[in-house]
Amino acid sequence: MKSGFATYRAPPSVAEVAAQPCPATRRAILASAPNGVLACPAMLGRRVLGKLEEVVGPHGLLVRPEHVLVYECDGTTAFKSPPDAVVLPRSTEEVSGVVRACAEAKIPFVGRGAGTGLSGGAIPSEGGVVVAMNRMNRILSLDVENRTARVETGIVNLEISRGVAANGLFFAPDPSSQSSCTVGGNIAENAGGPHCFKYGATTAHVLALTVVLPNGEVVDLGQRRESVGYDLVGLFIGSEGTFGIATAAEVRLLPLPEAIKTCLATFPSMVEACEAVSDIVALGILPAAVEMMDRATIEVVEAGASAGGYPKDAEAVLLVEFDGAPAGLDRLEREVGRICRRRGAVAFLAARDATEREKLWKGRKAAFGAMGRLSTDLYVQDGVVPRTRLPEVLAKVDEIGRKHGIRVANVFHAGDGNLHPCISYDGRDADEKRRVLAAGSEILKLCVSVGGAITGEHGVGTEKAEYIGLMFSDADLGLMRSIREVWNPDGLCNPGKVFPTGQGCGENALGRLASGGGAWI
Amino acid sequence: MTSGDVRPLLEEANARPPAVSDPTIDGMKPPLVLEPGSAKAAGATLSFCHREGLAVVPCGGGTRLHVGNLPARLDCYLSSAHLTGVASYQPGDLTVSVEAGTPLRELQSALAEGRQFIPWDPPRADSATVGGVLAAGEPGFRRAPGARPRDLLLGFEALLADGTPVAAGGRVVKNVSGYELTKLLVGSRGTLAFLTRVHLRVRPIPETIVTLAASFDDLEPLASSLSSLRSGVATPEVVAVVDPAVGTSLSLKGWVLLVRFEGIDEEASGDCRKVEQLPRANDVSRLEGSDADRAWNVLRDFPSPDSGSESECILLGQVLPSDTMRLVGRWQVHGSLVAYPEAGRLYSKTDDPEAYWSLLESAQELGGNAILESGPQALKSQLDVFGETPGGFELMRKIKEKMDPKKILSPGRFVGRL
Repeated sequence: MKSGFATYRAPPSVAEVAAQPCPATRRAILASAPNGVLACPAMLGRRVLGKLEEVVGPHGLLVRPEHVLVYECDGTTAFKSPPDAVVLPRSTEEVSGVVRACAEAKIPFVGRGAGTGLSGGAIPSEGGVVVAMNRMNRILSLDVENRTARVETGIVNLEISRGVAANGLFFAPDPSSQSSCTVGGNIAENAGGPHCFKYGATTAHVLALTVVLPNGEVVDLGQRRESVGYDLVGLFIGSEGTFGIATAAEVRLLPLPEAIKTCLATFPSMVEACEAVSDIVALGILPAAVEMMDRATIEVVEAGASAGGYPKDAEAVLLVEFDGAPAGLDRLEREVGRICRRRGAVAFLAARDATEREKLWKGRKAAFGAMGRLSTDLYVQDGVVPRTRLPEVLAKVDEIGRKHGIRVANVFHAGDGNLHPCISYDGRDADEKRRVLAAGSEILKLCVSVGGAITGEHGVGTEKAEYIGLMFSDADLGLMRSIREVWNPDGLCNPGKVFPTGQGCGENALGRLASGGGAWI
Repeated sequence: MTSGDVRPLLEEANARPPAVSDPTIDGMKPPLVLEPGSAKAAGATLSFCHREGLAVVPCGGGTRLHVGNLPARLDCYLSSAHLTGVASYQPGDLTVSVEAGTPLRELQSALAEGRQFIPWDPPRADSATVGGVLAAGEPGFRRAPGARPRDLLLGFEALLADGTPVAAGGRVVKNVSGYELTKLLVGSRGTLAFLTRVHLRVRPIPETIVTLAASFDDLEPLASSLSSLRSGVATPEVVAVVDPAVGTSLSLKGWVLLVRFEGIDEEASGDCRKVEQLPRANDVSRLEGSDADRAWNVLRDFPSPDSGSESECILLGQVLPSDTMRLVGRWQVHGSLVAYPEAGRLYSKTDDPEAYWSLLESAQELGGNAILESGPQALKSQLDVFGETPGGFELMRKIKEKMDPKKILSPGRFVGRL
C-alpha cells in the first residue's frame, strides 16, 4: 500500500461510490482506492444511503473508511469486522427510520453503546450498519418519589448516578467500565459489576423499555408499576442486541447508602483468602462487594499509575465492602477483621474516608487496563463457578497455565464465583498463541465441569458463541433460537452472536480471537 | 376426549380421576389428574397429551389456580406432586437445586439448617410448591428487587409443550450464558412449559426481624406518616396498609401501618426509632414473636379465596408506588383491603360484582391496572381478568404460538386469553 502526503488522494466520495448501481462496480472502485480502504459501503446502494441520510441527516451518517474504522470492534479488539456505515440517531423515531430502511433493504444492523463490551457483542459481524446510540444520552425525567428515571440508552452509566446524586439516589449496576459504558450496552449484556453481588445485575434495575424491533416498529415494554403478561423486559435484557435496539429505559434508582465500609485483607495464599470469603458469607450478612486479586494481578497493578497501595508480596488481596447504617458497619468491620486474621491474613485495614476507599478500589478497577502493559494481547475470560469450588478451580487454572507455559493472572468477583482469568500473550508468536488457545478452552470447560457457566457478565457475543454448546443441548439452543425468531425473524439484527455459527469449534473461535491484534484496554 | 388408546398414558402418568381435595378452576375439575413419578415420565405424559391434543393445566399445590381467565379447554391436570425433593444444597454457594413439585415449606426447612431461606410467603404457603410460586410469579408480601421469583430463579429444567426437556440459565448466582428464559417462565402461569427442576439463589436468614404496627384514626394521617417514612432513609423490607376490618383480625384498631424490618440489629433498631417517632400515629407498638407471625400470616393469606363464598371477588390494583394511597382513598368504601405502597399494590375482597369495574376505573385514572384474581364465573366470562393489554402483547402472542403451537398448555387462561 502506497501512502504519504505526496501521493495522497482522497478516497472516493460516498456519492461517487453509491452512484454505481452495481455492487461489483462499487467494490471495484473502492478496491482501486489508493490509500488502502479498509471498509466500504459496498453493501449499501445509493437508495439505502440516501434513505439513511434522510433519517439522520448528513452529520448523523458516517461512511468514510477512516470514520467507520473505530466501529470495527468493541473492548475485545481481537474480533474485527468493519461496518459499511455508521448512523448516529438522535431520537427513537430516527432509530426506527434507520432500522426500517435496513430491514427493507435486508441489510444487517447492530446497536452500539460505547463499545466497551468484552465478548465481541457489538461488532458488525456481517458488515452493514452500526446504530451508534451515543447522541441519545439524556436523562429524560426523574421521579424522586418513585425512585425511577427515564433515560435515553446512549447515556453513560455513571452519568445517571451523577445526575441523580443531588437527590440522594444512585443507579446500582457498576461494571468496571461504568465511566464510559452506556446503559444500552448494560441492558444488552445484562451487565454486572462488583456490587451486583448484593444489588443484582442490570436486570434488577430496569423497569421498562422502549424498543425498536428489528422491523422498525417501536414498542413499549413493561411499566414503572407492576404489569401483566410475560416479562418481556426481563427477556430482552441480556439478549445481546439480537432482539432489537432499546432506545429508552425506565431505570430503578436506590437511595445512597448511609455509610460504606471498605476493608482490605492480604493473605499468604489464595486458598486462605477463599476460606475467609466463605466465613464472611456465612456471617449471614451480604457484603455489597467481595473482590479478589492474585499475586500476578497485584504486581501488575502496583507497577502502574493506578496503584491501589496493595502489598506487592501478597499472594492474594481481598477487598470486602459493606454498606448500610454506620452503627452496624463498625461491628461488621471488627467481625470481618477477626475472620481474616483467623484465616491467616497478614494485614487487614479499613478505609477511614472516601479518599482511602477510592484508593482501595482504584487498583481493582484499573486491573484490566494495567494488564495491557504486559504483552501485545490480552484475553480476559468470564467464567463462573460455584463459590465453594473456588480454591480447587483456582489451583486447576494455575495448573492449566503452567502446563501450557503461560501466566494466568486472576482478578475476580469472589462473592459470586465470577472469575476473570487474564492471559497476556503475544499474538504474533504462533506457538504462544496455540498454547493460549488450549489453556483458554480448558479453563472454560473446567468452569462448566464443576457446575458453573461460561460467562457471568460479559455475554456470549462472538467470542464464546462456539462454547455455548458446553452448557446447553441442541434442544435448549433450539428454544433460544425460536425465541430470537419471534423478535428478529430475518436475523438482520446483530447477526453472528450468541449461537454457534457452524464455522468451527471453540478452538477455531479462539484461533480467530488470537489472530486479532492490539492490546485490550 | 381422545380417539387413541389411553392405556400407555394412564400407566406412565399415574393417571387418576379427580379427588375431592383436588383444586377447581372456576368450579370445574378436569376428568383426569396425571401425577407422573419422574421428570422423564412427565415428558412422556406431556408428549402423549400433545399428540392427542389434550388441554393440560400444570398444577403444583393448586393454591393459585383460580387466577386466570376461564379455561378454553380443560382435559387434565399435570401435577408435580411426585417431583419432589432437594436435589443439591450447598449453603456456601448461596444456591439450591430443587424439584419443582417440592412444597415450599419443605424447602424452607432444608434451608433453615444452613441458616438460609427463600424470601417468599405466598398465599396458603403451607400448600404452595416451589414450581407453583415461580409459575404464578407470586411471592407474597416481600416484593423488593432481589427477593422476587424473577430475581432468585437462576436456572430451570422444564418440559416444552411436546414433552421435550429443555434447560436454561444455570446453577450459579451470576450467569449471562444464553437468553434470560428464566424471566419468561416466571409468571407464565403454566402457559409455556412445565417446570421440573429449578435452581434458586437463597438468602441468609436475617439477624433480626422487627414488626411495628402504627395505628391511625383515619387514612389521611396514615398517608402523611407513610410519606414521611418513604422520604427518610429507613429501608423497611415490607410496608403494608391494613384497613380497619382486616386490622380487627390482627387485634389492632383503626387503620394500621404494618412495617417490617429485616437486617442487622443496629440497622433495624435505628429504623424502628424512625417509625416510633411517626408524628401522627395514635399508637406505635412492636409486635413480638407469635403476634408478629400471626399478623403477617393474615396478610399473606388475605388474597386467598374463602371457600364457600360464591360471590366473593378478589381484586388487585396495580399503580405507581406514589399513587397507592390515592387508590386506597378512592377505594375504601367497597370492601376490605390490604395495600403495599412500596409495590403499588392494593388487594381487596368484596362481594360486590360491580366493584371490579370501579377499581379498574380508579386505577386507570391513575395510569394503573386492576386484575380480577378470583370472582364468580358469570363475571369472569365477561372480561379479561388481567385488565389491561400489556405493551408488546403481539410479541407475547408470538412467543406463546412458538412454544405451544397446539395450544395445549392452560389454553385461554393467560393475559389476552392466550
